[in-house]
Amino acid sequence: MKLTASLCVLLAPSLMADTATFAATDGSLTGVLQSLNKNGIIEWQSPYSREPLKLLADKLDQVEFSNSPESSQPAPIQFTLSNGDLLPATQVTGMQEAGLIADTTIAGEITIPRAAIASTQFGVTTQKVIYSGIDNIREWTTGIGEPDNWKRSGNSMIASGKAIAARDCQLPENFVLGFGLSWDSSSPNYSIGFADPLKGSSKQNLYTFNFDGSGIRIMRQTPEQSRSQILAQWQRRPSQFSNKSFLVELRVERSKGRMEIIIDGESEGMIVDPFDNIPSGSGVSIRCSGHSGSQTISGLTITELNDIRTRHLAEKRGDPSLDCLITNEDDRWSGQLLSIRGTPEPSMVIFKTSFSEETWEIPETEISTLFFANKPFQGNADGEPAFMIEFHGKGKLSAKECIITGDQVEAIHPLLGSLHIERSSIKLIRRIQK
Amino acid sequence: MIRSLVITVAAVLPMLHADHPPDLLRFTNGDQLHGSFQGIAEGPSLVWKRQDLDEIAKFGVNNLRHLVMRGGNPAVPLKSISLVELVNGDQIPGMVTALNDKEITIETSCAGSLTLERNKVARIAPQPLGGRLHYHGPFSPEHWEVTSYNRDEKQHQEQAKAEDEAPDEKAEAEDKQPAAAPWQHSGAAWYWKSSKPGTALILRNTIPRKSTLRFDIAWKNQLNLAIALHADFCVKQSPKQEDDDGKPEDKQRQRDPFVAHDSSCLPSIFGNAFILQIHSNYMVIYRTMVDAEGNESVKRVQTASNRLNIGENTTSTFELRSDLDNSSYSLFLNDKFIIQWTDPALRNENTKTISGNSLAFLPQIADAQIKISDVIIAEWNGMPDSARSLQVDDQDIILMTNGLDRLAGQAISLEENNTLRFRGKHGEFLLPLDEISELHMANGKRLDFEPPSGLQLKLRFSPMGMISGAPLSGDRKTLVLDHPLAGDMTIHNESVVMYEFNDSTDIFTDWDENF
Repeated sequence: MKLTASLCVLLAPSLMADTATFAATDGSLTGVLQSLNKNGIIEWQSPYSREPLKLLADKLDQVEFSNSPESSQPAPIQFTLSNGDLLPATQVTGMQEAGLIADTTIAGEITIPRAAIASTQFGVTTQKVIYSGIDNIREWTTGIGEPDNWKRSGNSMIASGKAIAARDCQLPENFVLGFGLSWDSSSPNYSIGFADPLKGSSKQNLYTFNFDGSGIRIMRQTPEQSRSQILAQWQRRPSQFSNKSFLVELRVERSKGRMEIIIDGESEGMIVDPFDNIPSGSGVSIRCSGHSGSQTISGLTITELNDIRTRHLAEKRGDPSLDCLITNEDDRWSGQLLSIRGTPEPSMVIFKTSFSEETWEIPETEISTLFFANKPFQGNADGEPAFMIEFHGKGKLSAKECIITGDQVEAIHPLLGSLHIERSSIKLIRRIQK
Repeated sequence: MIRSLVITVAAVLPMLHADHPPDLLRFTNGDQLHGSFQGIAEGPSLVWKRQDLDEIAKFGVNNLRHLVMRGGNPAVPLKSISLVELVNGDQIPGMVTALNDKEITIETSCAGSLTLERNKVARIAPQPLGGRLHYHGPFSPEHWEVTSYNRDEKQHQEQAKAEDEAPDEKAEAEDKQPAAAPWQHSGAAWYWKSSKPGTALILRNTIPRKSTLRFDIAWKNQLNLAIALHADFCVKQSPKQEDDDGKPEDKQRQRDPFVAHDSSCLPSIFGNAFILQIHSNYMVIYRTMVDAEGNESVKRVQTASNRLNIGENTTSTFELRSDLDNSSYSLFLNDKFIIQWTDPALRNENTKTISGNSLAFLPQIADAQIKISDVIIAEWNGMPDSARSLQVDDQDIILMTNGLDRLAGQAISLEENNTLRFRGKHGEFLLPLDEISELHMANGKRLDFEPPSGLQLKLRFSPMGMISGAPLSGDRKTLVLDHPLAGDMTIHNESVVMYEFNDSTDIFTDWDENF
């Protein structure tokens, strides 16, 4: 329950307000975190109080900061530390006996002990967006079916009765198609075609996502088969969605003839297309035929799927006593990382394989993933971390201590030691529940 | 029905040297004959000797199906499974001793040194399969069991077993009308020929804990086959009961009979196992369980998709990669990834985890027609994906023996001390040949092979290898072949276990003419 109702509002709440969430209750407080000292006392400037409030940090669940990041793109380099923390960086500038020297987006240049690193990924970027939102309904409905059965609301298309829409979305070979479905119809009936050649003939080559009273199905139409074939199905009927809505993500790899289905953030598994002649169409089509009420499709987005890094990070580790390097072209080598040369750019990684005496010099721009040999490392072993600091983009670091003074955050990391972090890079600080 | 060549003999004499079983010759009309292979003569014809023949016989090779030498056993097994695969599918046992941009030289295990143009080579495999080979066949019925879970059939089997025949009498008996058995071995395959399901073909104690298991299945009409993987046959022990004479009853007689399409009978047959129920259009995976108290249950392994599209009247290659210690199982069909799963029984403390090492095939419908061949079981090095999926048009691909490391580029040359010079995108490497599992030559640079017309004889080696060609001449120890890619080759027969004549691409020609 927010505290706003019981207090006289002296100042309008700042539009750029931090938010503190309390642990014991579901209360929250907006304001500006001015400082956090080593005694765990937060000075909190509330718009409802002339003097800063003194909050006890151990009574809060988290503080979410209002600062907006300069860029929403993740940092191109991601270190996964041996304790699971994620450290974003822009460049690895060198390697010394003490560890790797990296320019981080959050704390400037730091030295990361090798034994503290589990893996490093290079070239991390957000996937290229091909299409986002339904911005112009006419592009979907002109000349197709009965356009008047569609209405647009924000980034949603709402169908009343039988409605068809289609668009050439320039689907790349491998793509992620995401959308939300919601309905107040008693019997929703969706058929969303993808890799659709949009030819309008009866025998086409495409996939469809179907949702109706029978549940969810992924179907395959081929010109050679008189009927669509079910590739996968789930007995999840409309009545089982209490909110009458769910989110769908289809991760389609036409190059490998397979796709992954994710419903409300949970993977439902990988489907392999057993048929030849993988659909090559670039369109998306939507068919709704609920008999009463409305059916909505919203937030339709298409991004290019390049999951090479996700795949490489998920590969078997192999011999943990060896470093391992995987390139963007899928070459993989076990061996020893000898050094990293930061200049001239791009950084060069010097690697010696287990199978050969020669060394390998590879530009960092051509490396996907580096696994580091497991070596015992305790770091600063006193005490368990009390906080988790989460950064804009992707990144999180645990901290035993956290002192905030103005724009600077001083944190003691269990592996990296003392860090001076830019407050503007922090999205939130969360207390770690014991 | 297979007709037999009936031979009246006055006395039964030993056929061959006491150390090896006799050779076996099968004809295209179903006749079969034990004896001694003597070589290939002009015609070409196969020269055959039996002590009850007045003189040696010569059979035109066009009338022959198989020659199985020494009961499917080599005189001298190959010391290594390293091989070189050619663009026509031949797998020549041996090691590469020279390589450049134009030619590859192989020191074969059976035909001396052989030099071929590089574009005729598809794959060099110093350590194929990524590990130790445990089984390759079936070149003979040895190591296999046929067990019926159908009461009527079981009684028939017990009756046949009770007739204790001497080896020579058995050989003579096999020349006569053989008893109709549901599973029959012929050449390098097992054939299912029964009108009544419920008899399993079992290969016990051969699958290691981390394994790659590969086999070809051919079928006619609908396929409905249960394949038991990692079965332990730890079935419920029925309480001992005595029959009327006071002797304990055979516990197998107390087992529930096989019931087609009823998965609940599977634990009592296979114990703890994964059962792949394969149909023409779909597949279901079951986990059969027998807990510590002997309670049986079956659980279906949930998968997003159970779709297969293998159709009717065809053949497919199945490959299963399993890692029991990590409870990880992957199925490939025709070299394409199909599905991956873990053991659902892990969550149940009372249930035994999968630890069995046996393989079994159990047809599920009447009048099924199935052929099982090319069974290969090897230790698995952990290679996560089918090697063939890594093939690219313009680059050679190296896969290392640790099962994970790989490199694309160009194989340059074979250097002294057995190292391969390989050029990758970022440099040249010298890679020890004994650390290389396989080298796949670039797809786009291979010769487009046109199969020759005329008879092509296939020689199968033990434990691995296959060489084909037109037979020209030879004796029992050597054979001269006209190889479609290598020209005339002289093959030493000591590691050969089978000659396949008239190998048709039609899967039905090997089968009973009544099918």
